[in-house]
Amino acid sequence: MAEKLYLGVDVGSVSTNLALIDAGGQLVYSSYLRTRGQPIRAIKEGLRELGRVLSPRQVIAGVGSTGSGRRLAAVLLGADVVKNEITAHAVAAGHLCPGVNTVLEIGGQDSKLIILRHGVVVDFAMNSVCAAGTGSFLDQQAARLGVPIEEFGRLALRSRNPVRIAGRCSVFAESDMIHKQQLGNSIEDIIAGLCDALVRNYLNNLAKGKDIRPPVVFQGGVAANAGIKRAFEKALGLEVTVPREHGVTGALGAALLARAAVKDRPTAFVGLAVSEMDHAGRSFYCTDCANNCEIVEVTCDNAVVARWGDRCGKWSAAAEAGAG
Amino acid sequence: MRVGLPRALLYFKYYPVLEQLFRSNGWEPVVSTPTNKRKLEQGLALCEDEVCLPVKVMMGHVRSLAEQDIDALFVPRVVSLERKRYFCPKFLGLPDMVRCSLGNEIPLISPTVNLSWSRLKIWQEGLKSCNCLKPWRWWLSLNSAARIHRRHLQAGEPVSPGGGKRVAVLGHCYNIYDEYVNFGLLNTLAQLGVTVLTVENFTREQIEEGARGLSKDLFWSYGRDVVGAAFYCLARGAADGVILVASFGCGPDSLIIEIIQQRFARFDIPLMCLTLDEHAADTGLVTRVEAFVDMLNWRDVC
Repeated sequence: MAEKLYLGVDVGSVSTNLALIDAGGQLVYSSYLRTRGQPIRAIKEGLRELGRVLSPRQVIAGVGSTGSGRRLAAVLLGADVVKNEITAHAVAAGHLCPGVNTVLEIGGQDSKLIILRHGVVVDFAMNSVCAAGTGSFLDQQAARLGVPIEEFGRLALRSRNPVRIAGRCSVFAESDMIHKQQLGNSIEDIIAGLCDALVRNYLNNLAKGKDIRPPVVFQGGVAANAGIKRAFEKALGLEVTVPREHGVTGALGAALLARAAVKDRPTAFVGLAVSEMDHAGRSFYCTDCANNCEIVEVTCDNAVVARWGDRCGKWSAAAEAGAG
Repeated sequence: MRVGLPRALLYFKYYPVLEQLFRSNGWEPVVSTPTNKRKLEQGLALCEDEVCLPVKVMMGHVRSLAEQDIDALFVPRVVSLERKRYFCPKFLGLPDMVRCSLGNEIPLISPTVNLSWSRLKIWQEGLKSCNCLKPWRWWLSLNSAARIHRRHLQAGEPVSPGGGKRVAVLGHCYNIYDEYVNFGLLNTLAQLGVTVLTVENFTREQIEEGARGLSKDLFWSYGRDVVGAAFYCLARGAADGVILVASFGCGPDSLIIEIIQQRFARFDIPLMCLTLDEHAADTGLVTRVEAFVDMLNWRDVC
């Protein structure tokens, strides 16, 4: 009999992650791809890679999508469940670390703080408009300093005397860093200072009035950075655990939710062949009223499969009727 | 006489009284169509950067009315609608801001509205600011409007039975009821199966009871209603979760949110704050709202 596996896809601003779990919830495969502004391509590339490692007796019995591109992924794949990333991360954290009370998550463009009690989310916070102190800012600074982002954490750990950098705003942080670098501070100290600033900013923005209790789990792409982990431990005075699967927790959560969703119904998954179909996304402005909504249209082999972005709903309804 | 009435700011709360006052004085109200992208963009272009989002939206409505066939535009200077409680300076300066950006294109009707004045003084102010009012007719319509207004204030609208979790969505009426500005927040919540409560669903007594929990009385009418409703939810468990809706650049909101957050931190009713700005995508808002409702539904599991 075929082995049933469940796929979770997390389409984020910076990366597109896939996680495949077995019926027992064990992670059997994961991949981390850069979205590079082209989510459709990233999803297909991920599926193609997945197709190569899947054995013929393994079948995908359920698919879940999450992340800011979750709708797009759901249309492409035929997802059984489409969930916001806060819920997905919380589900994954509870699975990886039963009894977890606090989840710190820093991704490419947003950061979250999730408070759980007895495995249930009781409170959360998400950064507002400003993306200061998230992964993309670190990426940008690493590139400016000529340090590969993978080296960032290691360098930070070598620092003896982290410099103080204003982390409130990434524009200020950058000018502060340049100032310190011109004064002659070592690159290790500047990087460690940046880690401290980012954590200070995170805690000031998200953790105000929140009851942070151990065990604390740190996940998301930025959790790979040992410098940030240490800065969190220093600031909180608590041990912070980074799970091995930290980079794909969103996808893992989506996979777990998909497993639950297909308990009593068959999957809507299109199949791995989707990576060979010709998908395209395009957008246009509707000029029927003064809203001038920007409509996004996804086509598969030249047939419209979904539309969204219209406030009145007529374009999305027409696409749904056509697809059904 | 056709008088333009912008569908913005206090219109959302006072439209019954306003439309009745207009008609009983022989004015035909020309209400602007709901907010859309064009209005927002025009508002942004007409306002200076510092004003809050709702005022920018208001300016967009004013502009769109100015392009229509109207004889005058109604932009009151709202000072106070309750004794010793006031509106923020942007409401007080609104007619000046409008005049500044429209010039003398259209005559403005901009009476000072201060309900702590005597009925006689309000009547005189009306006659002074608008010479087309007929004194006797204006006096009669003012009296019937006062009755409508009193009734309006007393009743808290009952909640439609919806099952599901009760989520109080608290904020200024022009943020809660302007679907364009809040990306259809109430509708999104309804689709997620929750029962929505707004400030209007609480009776005056309930709001007063909640507001008594303040260590010092607030002098902003609207902010006080929001705090009162939020505190009432806490004290009586009237909601399973509270969503505060604030607009970017609102001075009073920044203080009120802090007051409410500090109080809620000590209790077990989840609170989330949404700040509305000029963002064109609804993804961030929908993500937060979905997660909030997931959280409320899951809390029952344990």
